[in-house]
Amino acid sequence: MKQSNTTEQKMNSIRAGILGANDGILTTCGVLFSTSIASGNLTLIFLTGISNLFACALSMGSGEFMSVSSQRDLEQQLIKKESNKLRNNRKEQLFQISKYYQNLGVSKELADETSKHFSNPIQELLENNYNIELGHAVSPISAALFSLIFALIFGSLPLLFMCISPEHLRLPLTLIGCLISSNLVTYLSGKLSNSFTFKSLIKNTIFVLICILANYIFGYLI
Amino acid sequence: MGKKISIVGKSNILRAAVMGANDGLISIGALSVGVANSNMSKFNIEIAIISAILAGMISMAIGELVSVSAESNAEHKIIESSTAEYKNNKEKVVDFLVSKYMQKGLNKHLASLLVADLLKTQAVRTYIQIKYGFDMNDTVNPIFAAIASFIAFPIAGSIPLLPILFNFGINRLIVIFMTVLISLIVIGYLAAKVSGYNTSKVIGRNLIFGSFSMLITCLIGGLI
Repeated sequence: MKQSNTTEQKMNSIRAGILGANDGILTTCGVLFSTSIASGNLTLIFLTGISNLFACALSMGSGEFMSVSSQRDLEQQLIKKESNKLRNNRKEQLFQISKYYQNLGVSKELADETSKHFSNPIQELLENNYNIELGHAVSPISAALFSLIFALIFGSLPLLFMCISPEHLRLPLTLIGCLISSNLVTYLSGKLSNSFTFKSLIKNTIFVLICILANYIFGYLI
Repeated sequence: MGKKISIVGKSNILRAAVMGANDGLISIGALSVGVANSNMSKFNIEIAIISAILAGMISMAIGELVSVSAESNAEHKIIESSTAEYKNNKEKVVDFLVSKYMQKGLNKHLASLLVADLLKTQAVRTYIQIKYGFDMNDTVNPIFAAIASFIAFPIAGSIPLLPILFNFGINRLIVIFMTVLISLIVIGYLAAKVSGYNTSKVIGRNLIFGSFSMLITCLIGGLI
């Protein structure tokens, strides 16, 4: 966790982008399949696909902005509250820090002694109680933009495949577009977090197929 | 990673439900405005919206499952590697912790004493707690969060469908806009309460983003 601020911010934005991309792919592809089965009207399929792509990207982007910015507000609120409460009460500060270490198995004398030596006791308390590290804020705008743009780019791939494919191959090619796009995202996210395995690609393919199958069945039911 | 969720860790399921509902409302609301502003028939508009609700609901649940299970995978990897690290190279773990406490202002002697005490009982758990910020006895459970958003998304997503199913006689675009905006206030309020966020800010943002999304798709629907 000892990364520089900017690296961590970048990682968080990319994580948002990957979430957005996955949602963009799965909803677009799902809608294309269920409308194809339910109606077969090309204008309807295309219009629903493209409206849904934008609706999904916008909603992912705003959801990301909302959750990151609200989280940041909450952290700042907590930081302010705790700092105000404790700035004027050093005894309480030391008591709480000592208690935290005693709960982790440190003897009372040592915990008491240690608590006096922290150069920034308020930060120590925030870290212990809320897992907040000062100066580690994520930018809500960059998270939102990544989510929006990734959803649009990767979600448009299945749509593109559908548009260029001949009529009798439309659904299989759309499915292939969806699988390529989705596994590309899995590959990228695995590489970025250093946890890429071929198993994750297989797992992802199964997830996508379940998703499409469910939409296929629902399309029949409509 | 464990860092960000830990504050709201307890209400993870509720949060997933509210987020699912909010997402359902904004994305299906935007889609509905888009298709309602095109020249499709009422029947086709209904098919489009219902398909989108189903697709969104499935993708929402799978997305939630994938992201939470990735997180729990990452946690398990950390637990495994930290356990091995502690077993094979105890000095390295001790050095890491001592230097971490020296950065925080403790002198070398005190830091060594503290670390020795910390590692006396439940060494690996304490090491993980300090280095990565999560409790290994309290890791994430992906299933419930996924179920929560799977249920919440279609409930909120069917709200924009209502003005189309029951023709109110007024311009349906306006009715969808109003219905969605009012629901966004309610869900924004719930979201803020569940997570302890600032209520008016959340509602304000929800309204801005909701109307922005609907305006854009409205334009797209009109263009095609």
